[in-house]
Amino acid sequence: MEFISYFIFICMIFPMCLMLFILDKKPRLLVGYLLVGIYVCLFCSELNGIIVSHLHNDFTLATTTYTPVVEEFFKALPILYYAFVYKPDRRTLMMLAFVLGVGFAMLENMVYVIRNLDSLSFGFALTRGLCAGLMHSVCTMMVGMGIFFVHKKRKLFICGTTALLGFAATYHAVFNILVQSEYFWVGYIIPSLTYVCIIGIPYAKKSKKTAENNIIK
Amino acid sequence: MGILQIILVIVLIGTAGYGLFVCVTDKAPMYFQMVICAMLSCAFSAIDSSLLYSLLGIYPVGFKISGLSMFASFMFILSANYGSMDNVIDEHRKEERKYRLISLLAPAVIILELSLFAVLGKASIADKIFLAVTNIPAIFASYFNLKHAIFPDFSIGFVKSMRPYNVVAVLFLLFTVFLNITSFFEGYTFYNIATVLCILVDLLMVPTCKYGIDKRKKIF
Repeated sequence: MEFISYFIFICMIFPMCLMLFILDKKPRLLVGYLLVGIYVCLFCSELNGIIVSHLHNDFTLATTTYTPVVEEFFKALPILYYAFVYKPDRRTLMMLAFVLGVGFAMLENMVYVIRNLDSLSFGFALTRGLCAGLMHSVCTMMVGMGIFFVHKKRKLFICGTTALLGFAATYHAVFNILVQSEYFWVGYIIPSLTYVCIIGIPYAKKSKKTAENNIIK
Repeated sequence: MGILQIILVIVLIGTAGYGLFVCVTDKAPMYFQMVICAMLSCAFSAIDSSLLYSLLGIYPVGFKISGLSMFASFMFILSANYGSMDNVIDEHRKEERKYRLISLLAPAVIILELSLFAVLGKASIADKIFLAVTNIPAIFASYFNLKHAIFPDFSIGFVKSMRPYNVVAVLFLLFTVFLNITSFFEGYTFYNIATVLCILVDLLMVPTCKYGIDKRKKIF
């Protein structure tokens, strides 16, 4: 059980790597970022392990105070790289950020399920998949959205990116606190609500604009 | 968790929520969005520290996520004024030097607050260092906010319209740093005073910013 995350990593990453040669430009990029997300998760799990052992195995303190910072920082790095080197449009950057978060959540969920085989249930799997998985994606997507706005101006970039990372880490930490408390259901609602807002608001705005244009016509 | 702290959390969530509503219903400029992000970060900071203590009974020494969120909040305010507004307002002419010098007053007050805490405060060294680090952006942000509050409005009317917000933002920074410091004090008198001041200022942040932005729309 000690190296379980490595075994899962190998099982997941090889078929996906082979898939990269078959895919075209954009799907390849997306799968590539999915792989990066999985790799970042493995890297963070090692770092988090070191942090937990430094805190005398105080898992609650580590997950509510330290690990969110580590995870959000390393999840943001590939997005920052892409934003700077390729200067993509907003939609592409958001897609990549979301996919990276999904990759991270995939490996984390699998390791979590295997480590909790005794207490597995349908509800557990559903909440884990829907909420914890979504939380990682939503956090990275928020950072990605923000980076798109701040990376254009040098003056904005440093302040803006640091602020975004701090915000994402706190969001993550609040989620971790809530899911470990008796009000865990509130924690499960938060990512879904944020996801609905991020996806729904631009759609609603677009629909409103189309309706207005139709009236004018 | 005291009643004042609960009110502070509710006020912060309310102001951030109102700001988000404005962003959704109207096309808000980036400056306004950054102020909303600052309020959201501040709200999350208050939520995090309250939940961590009341639900899990944890009060970490040194590094705290709530401190990081406060840092993020100050950074957003700094980005808004330094990153997107300062270029338009200050053209670095010699005649305006006195305004720049007067603006140093706000950071001086924050530095004084932090220095007094460092010398007289009874917190651990780790807490003192972390508090100092997380409040550094507030020093810079207060400079730009005060500068934009007192700078002469030459032509566009933009500075004048944002003046009320910038005054409130300076107060927000001063009181928030004061609140962060008083959370380490023995007894609740100073802490309660700081919380009340923060509640009042937090209530004004988004409306004054919206007022400035709306006026700016009329100007252009």
